[in-house]
Amino acid sequence: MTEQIAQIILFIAAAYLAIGLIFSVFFYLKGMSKIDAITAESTWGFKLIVFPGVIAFWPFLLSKWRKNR
Amino acid sequence: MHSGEALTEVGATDPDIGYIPTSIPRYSNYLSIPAKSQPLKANSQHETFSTQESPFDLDHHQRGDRPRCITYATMSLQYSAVGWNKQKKRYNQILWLGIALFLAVFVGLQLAFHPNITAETLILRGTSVTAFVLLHIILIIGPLCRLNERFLPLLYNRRHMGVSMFLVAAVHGIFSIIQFHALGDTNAFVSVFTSNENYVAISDFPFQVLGFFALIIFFLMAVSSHDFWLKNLSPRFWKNMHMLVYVAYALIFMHVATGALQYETNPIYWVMLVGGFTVVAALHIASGIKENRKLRTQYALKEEGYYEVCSLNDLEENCGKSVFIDAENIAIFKYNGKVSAVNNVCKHQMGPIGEGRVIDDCITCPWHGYQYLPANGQSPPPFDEKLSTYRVKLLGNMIWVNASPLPEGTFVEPAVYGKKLAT
Repeated sequence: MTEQIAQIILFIAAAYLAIGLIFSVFFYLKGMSKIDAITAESTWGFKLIVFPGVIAFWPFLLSKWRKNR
Repeated sequence: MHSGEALTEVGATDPDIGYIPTSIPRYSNYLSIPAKSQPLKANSQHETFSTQESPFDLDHHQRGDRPRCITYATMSLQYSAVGWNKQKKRYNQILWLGIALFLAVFVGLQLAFHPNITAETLILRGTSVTAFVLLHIILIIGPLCRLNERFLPLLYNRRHMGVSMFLVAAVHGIFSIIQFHALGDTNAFVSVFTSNENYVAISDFPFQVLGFFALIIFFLMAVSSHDFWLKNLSPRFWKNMHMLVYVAYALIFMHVATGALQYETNPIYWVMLVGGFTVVAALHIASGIKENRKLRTQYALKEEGYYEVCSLNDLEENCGKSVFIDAENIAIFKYNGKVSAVNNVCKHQMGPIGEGRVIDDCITCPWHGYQYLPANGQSPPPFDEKLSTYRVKLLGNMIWVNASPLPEGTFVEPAVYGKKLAT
């Protein structure tokens, strides 16, 4: 029982991160500068350092991106 | 953030990693002076480029009897990965040297008392104890700064300390998973939850799960330790998420109590665990009592919604005073022959505006140098942060404040008490 629950949690977490990874591609191409204009001129170091966060917080970024459209 | 929101904690986590301005608006030359008459040390995060001075030349600002100033840029026009400056480099050098020394001493002691200890055990113990100690230091910095401003330099780059703590803890977590869960048939992450299913036990509780969830919290905090996240997740959400450090601390406490301490016979580990908790709790309580004293200060309502709060002589020139009136957290500033009042909670990280100074005609937050015009609470263009403002008047030598907040950014005519100084 515990193993089944753990498997489900793991699957959900993996799916969440996979979606975040796919989202990050579009986010870096278009979304980032839409939600925060300052990022357009920002360094690659900055973009690299926020990458884990983009994957972790993609629903928040997506929501903000949609609002800013 | 509401205008009346009280400051509850000195930045549960404190960001670093700044911006580099691409253009220099007049007001982006932030000179942050931590708390009046305090010997000024690095307590802020971001450096800026002055139009006239080197951004890193701190001593350049030592003029006459003016407190030593440090230039910071918090509200600039470009993000960078890490806004390094001399203080941050020094802070990190000391931090990592301290971590290395601690690890060296710990390993030495372990080898002395346990000659047969394996390298794997050394790594697991060394990283766990180091992260544990760092977590305690991180947790006590906030209340220490509230109790005594001399600790402010520790707050300066706490963000890096937090990320460093996460990295050390991550080594411990990943190594533990590899060592104990990755060598069987079961998925390593599933094994963390299923290798021990005594979830109703106390002495044999699957403590790994507690550490796993704590590590996830530390991960979320570490990856969001950049002002990009503070801005785009919203300061309120960001702050609340970073307050999860206390949940993580509780998980770590239980992780240690139900894990390593079940096997250790030396009482020193229990002393460290309980002693650490006692110190963290005591400092939080002490700083909370100090804050509550401010909240309990009663101001008598005199007339038409105005409260008499203090005398002009109670305020130093270009300095502020924090007052709590009707649950409103208000910062009153005396500057240039005028008095203005704004909300006391900085939009950046809820820093105590009233403990800052007026620099370049702007109220400057002591934590990270965010600036606001005293009369309307607005950050100077092109920045768009706004504070609530309050009506102020002078009767004789006494300052009166109307505790009803005006909408953020509303201009309020300052109370004038003397000849305006030339600017």
